[in-house]
Amino acid sequence: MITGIGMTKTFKSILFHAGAIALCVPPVFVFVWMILTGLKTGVQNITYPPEFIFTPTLENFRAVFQQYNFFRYLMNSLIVAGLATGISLVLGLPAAYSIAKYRQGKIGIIILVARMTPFVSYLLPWYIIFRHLKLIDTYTALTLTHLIITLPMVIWLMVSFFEGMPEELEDAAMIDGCSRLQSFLIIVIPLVRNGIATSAIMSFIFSWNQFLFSLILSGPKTKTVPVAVYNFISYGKIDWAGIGAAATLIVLPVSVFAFFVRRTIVQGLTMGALKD
Amino acid sequence: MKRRMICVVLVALLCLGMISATAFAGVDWKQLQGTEIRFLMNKHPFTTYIEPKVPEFEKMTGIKVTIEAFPEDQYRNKRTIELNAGGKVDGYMIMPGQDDLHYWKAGWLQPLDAYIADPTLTEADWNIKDFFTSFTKASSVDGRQIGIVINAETSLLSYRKDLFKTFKVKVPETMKELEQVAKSFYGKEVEGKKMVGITLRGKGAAATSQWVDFLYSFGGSWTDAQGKSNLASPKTIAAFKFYGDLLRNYGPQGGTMLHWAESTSMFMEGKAAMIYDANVFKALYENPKESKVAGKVGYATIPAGPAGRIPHVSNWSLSIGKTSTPERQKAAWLFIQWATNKNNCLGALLAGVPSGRASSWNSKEYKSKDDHPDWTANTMKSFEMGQPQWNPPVLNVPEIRDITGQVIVDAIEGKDVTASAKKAAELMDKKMER
Amino acid sequence: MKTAPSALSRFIDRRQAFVYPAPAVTALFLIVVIPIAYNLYLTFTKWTIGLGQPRFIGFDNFIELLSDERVLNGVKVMVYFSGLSLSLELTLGLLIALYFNREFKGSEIVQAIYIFPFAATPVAVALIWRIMLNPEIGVLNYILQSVGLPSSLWVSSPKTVIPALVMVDVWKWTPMITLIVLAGLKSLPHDPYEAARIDGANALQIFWYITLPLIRPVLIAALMLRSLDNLKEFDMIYTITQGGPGISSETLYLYSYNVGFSFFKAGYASALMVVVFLIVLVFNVVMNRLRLSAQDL
Repeated sequence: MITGIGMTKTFKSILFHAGAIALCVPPVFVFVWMILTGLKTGVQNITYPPEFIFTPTLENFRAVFQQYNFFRYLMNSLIVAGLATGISLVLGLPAAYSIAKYRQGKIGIIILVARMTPFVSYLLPWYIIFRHLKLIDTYTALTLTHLIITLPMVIWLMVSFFEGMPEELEDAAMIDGCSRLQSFLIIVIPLVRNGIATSAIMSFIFSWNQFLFSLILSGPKTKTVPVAVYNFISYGKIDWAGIGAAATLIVLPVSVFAFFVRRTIVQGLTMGALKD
Repeated sequence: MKRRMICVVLVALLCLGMISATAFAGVDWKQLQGTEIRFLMNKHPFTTYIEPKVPEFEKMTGIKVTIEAFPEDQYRNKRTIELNAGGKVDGYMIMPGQDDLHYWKAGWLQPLDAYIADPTLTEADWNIKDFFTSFTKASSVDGRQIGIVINAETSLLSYRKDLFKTFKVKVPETMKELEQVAKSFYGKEVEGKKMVGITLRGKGAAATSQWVDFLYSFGGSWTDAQGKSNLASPKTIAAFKFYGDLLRNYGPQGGTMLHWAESTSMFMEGKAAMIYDANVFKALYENPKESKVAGKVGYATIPAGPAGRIPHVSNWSLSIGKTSTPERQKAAWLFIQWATNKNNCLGALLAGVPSGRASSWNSKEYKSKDDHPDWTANTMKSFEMGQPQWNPPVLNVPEIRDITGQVIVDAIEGKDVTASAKKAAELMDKKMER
Repeated sequence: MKTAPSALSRFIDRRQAFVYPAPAVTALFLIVVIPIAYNLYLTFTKWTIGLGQPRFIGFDNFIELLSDERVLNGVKVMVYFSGLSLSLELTLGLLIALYFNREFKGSEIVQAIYIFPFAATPVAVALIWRIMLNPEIGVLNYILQSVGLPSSLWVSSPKTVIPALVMVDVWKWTPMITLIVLAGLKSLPHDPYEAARIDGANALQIFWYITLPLIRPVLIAALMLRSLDNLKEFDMIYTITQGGPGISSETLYLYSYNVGFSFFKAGYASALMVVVFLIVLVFNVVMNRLRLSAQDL
C-alpha cells in the first residue's frame, strides 16, 4: 500500500486547493452577482429570498445600449483615458528621468502635494476656469483634469524605474557620439519599457474609473462611463436591473484589460513600491 | 358722395379685417427659428415623458433644444454650479419650495410674467388660470411668476387594500389609528413573508419631505411668529417622536437609511402593509414589471393629527435662466409653454405624472381611463388642503433640512428627541440665512 | 547612433535638468497649483455660491470648524475607517500571500482573479454592494441566514456601518496588496531560510524572525501606496451610504463635499478640505519616518 505519506500529500494538496478556491470566492462573488442582477427583471431584483435560479433576460443589456447611447460613453472614456495617459507619458517620462538623475526632490514635492490634495477641492476652481475658457463638455477640459491623477502617478512610478537604471549605458552611448537627448530616447526609454507599460496601464485604469470630475465637467457629448451608471437612478425609481447591466458593461472592459496585463501591473507596482 | 362713402367703408372694413387678422393671428411659433437653447432637467418621469416629443417642438418652431438630464442629487449640484459659473443654462427644472429663495436672490430666475402677458408669445388658450392657484403661487417669489408647474406633488398613504380586506382593517383616519394598524400588521406572516406595518423615509434630510406632513398635522411649524426656529416646540417634538417611534417600532430594519428607493422597494416587494410617500409613485406601484403589489394598492390622505390632516404640496416647475440672452429666453419660454400646454399636461397625467392643470384632471379622457379614482380623489383633496411651505423659509434650505434630518434620525433610533430638537433649534437659529 | 546632434538637441542637452521636467511642471502648475491656490484663498472667505461675492473673514472658518461637532465626528470616522481597513488589508494581504507563496497548479488563475477587484470601477461595484447590503432584501443577509447566522443591518445601523464599509474596501483592495506582497515574497533571498531550516526553526519562528523583517519594506510601501487613496475615499462611501446613518459614516472628506456642493458654502468647505489635506500629510510624514527607520535595519 503506498501509504501514509503519499496519501497525506494528496490530501494536503486537496486541502490546499480547497482553501485556494475558498479564497477566490470573495473577489469573484461580487462580479457574479453584478452580472446576475443585470440578467434579472426589476421585480426579481427586489425579491427575497433572492433567486439564484431564474430565467435570465437580456432586456437590460439591450436597453443600456439602445436607450443610453452606451457606445458613445465607452468612446468618451476611451478617448479621455487614452489622451490623459498619452500626455502624462510624454510629459512625465522626461520629468521623472530628470528627478531621478539630478535628484530633484523638490519637484517631487509638488507631485506629492498633488496626490495628497482631496480631489473635491479642485472642482469649483476648475469649473469656473473652464467656464471662462468655454471648455465645458470638451475632451480638453476632461483630459486636463484627469492629468491630476495620471501625471503624478506616471512620474512617481517612473522615478523608481529610472533610479534602478545603470548610468553606464547612457554614458557609453554618449561616448559613442549621441547627444543626451538621443541617448534618452534610444537607450533609456527602451530600458524602462516595463515601467512605462505599468504606469500607462495604471494611468489608464484610474482615469477610466474616475467619477467625480467627469460628473461635474462633462456634458452629453463627453459623458464618460462611470457617470453613465447613474443614468439608472432617477426620480421615483432605481433601476437595479439596469444598474446591474450597466455596471457589468462598465466593469468588464477594464477588468478584462487588467487581466491581460496583470503581470505587468504587479511587477510594476512591486518595483515601484520597493524602490521607494 | 356715395362713392366716397363706399371707399371709407371699404377702407374701414379693410382696416378692421387687418386688425382682426393680427388679433387672431396668435403666436408665431417660428418667430425664433434657428435659436439654440439648453435645458437642464432632473431625471424625472416628466422628463421621460417630454424628451421623446422634443422633435415635435423643434419641427414646429425651428428651435434646437438640448436637454441634459441627471439623477436628482447630482442634478441639484450641477445646476447650482453651472448657474453660478455663468454656464449656458437657458431653462431648468426647479422645485420652488426648495430652491426658489436662494435662486431668486442669486439672480438666476427670469420672471415669466412679461411673457405670459404678451399675446405674441403666449396663446390665449394656454391660460395660466387653468393651473391650480396653490401651485402657481408656490412657483412665484415676491409676486413674480418664476416657474410653471409640471409635476404637482403631495404625499399619500398608500396601503394594501387586499390585506386590509382580508384582515378586516379600516383605513386609519387618525394618527392613533395609524399606529394601531401599523402595529397590527407588524410581524404578521403573509404569503410567506414577515410584514412590517409601515415604511417611511428615514434618511435624514431626505426624510424631512415626508416628515413635514406630520409636523403640520401635529400643529408644529418650521419657525415661530418671531421667525426663530420652532424645532424645539412641544408640538414639533411630538411630530418627531411620533414619526420616529412609528418607523422604529413598526417599520423595516435600518430605518435611518431608508430613502424613497428602499422604502418603495419594500412596499412593492409586498413586505409593508402601508407606505407614506409621494403620490407620483403610483406609476411605480401599479407597474407589474416593477411591483408585486400592482392592483392591490389603495390610496388615502394622511390621517388626522391633533391639528388636522395637513399634507404638504410641492411641485417641480420649469424656469428660465436669467443669465441667458433675451432671444434665448423667449425661445425657452416657447418651449416651456409648449411643454405645459393642455395637450402635454394631459398626456403626462395619463403617463402617471400628476399634472398642475385642473383641465387635465377634469378631462373626459382622463376620467374614463382612471382606474384609481381613490388616488385621484385623494390627490385632489391634498392639493386643496395642502401646505406649500414644505421647506424651512430660509435661503439655505439644504443645510437646515440637514439639521432637521439629524433629529429625525435620532427619533428613529430612539434617542432623546427633546435634547436633539433643542440642539437642532439652536443650530438652525445660528445658521439660517434669509 | 553616430549621427551628429542637432543644435536643438545640443540646447536641450545643456539644460537637461531644466528642460526635461519643465513641461510637466508647467502642466502641474496650471492644473494643480492654481486651483489649490484659489482654494486656499477661499479658505479665508465666507461665500455661499450664488449669493454675492466671497467676503474676507480671516481665520473665522477655522475657528468655526474647531467647534463644529461634525468635524470631530468626521475625523473620528476617518480614523476608524482608515485604521480598520488599512490594517485589515495589510494583514489579510500578507496572510493570503503567505498561503499562496508556493508552486501550485492554478496559481495563474488566482493571480487573474485577484486583479479583477482592483480594476473594477468603484462607483459601479459600490452600487452592486448597495443592493447586496440591503438588510431586508439583500443577498448577503440571505447567505448569513442560510448558514444559520443572524442577519446584520450592515450599513443601515450606526454600529455596523463602518465595519460594513471596511468590508467593501477590503474586498476591493486586499487582492492587490496580496499580489504585491506575493511578488515581494517570491523575490526574497533563499539563504536565510536555508540557514533557519538547518538550525531547526519551526514555521512560526521562521515567519516571525525571517519573513516578517524581510518583507517589512514591501508592507510599508504597500501601506503608503494604499493610504493616499484610502484616506481620501469618496466614491464608495458616497454611493453606498452618503455618510449615513445620520452622520455615522461621514468622513471629514464627505462632510466637506456636502458643505461645498449641497450647502454651497464654498469658504467653509475649503477650510475643511485643508484639514483633510493636513491629516493626509501628517499620516504620510509619519509613515515615511517609519519607512526610513525600517530601511536602516
